[in-house]
Amino acid sequence: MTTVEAPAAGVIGTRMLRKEDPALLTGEAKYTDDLDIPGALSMAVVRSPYAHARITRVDVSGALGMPGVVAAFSGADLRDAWAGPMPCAWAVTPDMKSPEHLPLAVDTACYAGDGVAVVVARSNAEARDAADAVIVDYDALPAVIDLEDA
Amino acid sequence: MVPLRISLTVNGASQSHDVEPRLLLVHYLRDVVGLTGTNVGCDTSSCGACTIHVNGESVKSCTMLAVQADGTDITTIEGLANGDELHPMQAAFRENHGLQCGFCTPGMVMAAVSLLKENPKPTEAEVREGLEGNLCRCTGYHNIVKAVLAASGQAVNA
Repeated sequence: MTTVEAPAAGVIGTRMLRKEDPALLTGEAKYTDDLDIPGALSMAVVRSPYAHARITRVDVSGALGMPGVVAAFSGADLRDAWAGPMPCAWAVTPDMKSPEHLPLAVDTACYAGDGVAVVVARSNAEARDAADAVIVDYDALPAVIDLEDA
Repeated sequence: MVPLRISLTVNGASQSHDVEPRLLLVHYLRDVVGLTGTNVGCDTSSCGACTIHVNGESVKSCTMLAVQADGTDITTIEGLANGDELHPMQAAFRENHGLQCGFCTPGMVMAAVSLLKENPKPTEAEVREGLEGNLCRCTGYHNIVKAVLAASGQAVNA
């Protein structure tokens, strides 16, 4: 008859404390926003206040003249120039619906908070100030807010 | 906007800076003083990640302007431990697995320390009510409540 010896004292069967906790508990942990990257710019996003709306005009020219602003883009600006439609899922079946996923909404805002324009500036405060100077005109459309309707 | 001069104490050290009147206290602490342990979770005073102590009381530092903190004594999460020795609340969070990603943790710990100062032996319900202004999206509240009860020296049912 063979006997199985208990494993020598070690990690198995032993309660372990996490190694990362001291840094997380003392504020020493570094999240992305904690990094001080020289030359890094800040971006503010102008978002749709409507759950569903046609975007009839996006004018970023007011933002471009604001202090610290480096660039400002509408959805149309980025549509073809950069980061075109991003696939969101693998088409498992040929008939699977795969809507275009663009960096910013172009013609239609599809939810409250949908990004419509962005402003890039030297500081976060400057970016947010300038985002207020972006003019967007919307035509509100009916929104589906019920699970059954959806 | 004309900058205003503020002088205050942060974690025992005197600080004096010219700040914009609209600068939020949390941004002052993070960007001017350089203490990034205090996190900004929601920007709208909902989540409590930015909780610090102002004159010993817990405050959501995104709710307060830096100029309002002129003359105050502030403690942030960086000021809680004694060197390498964790504050009993920090140790209790670690021991009871009261954190995962750790983002809400600085605010959660600061609010919990303040809670026990006001109510040294809270019931479980009182802990849950006392921390209702602090949101956690990963650990869940169960272990956080356990940690606070443990830090209060009360028996914790596993």
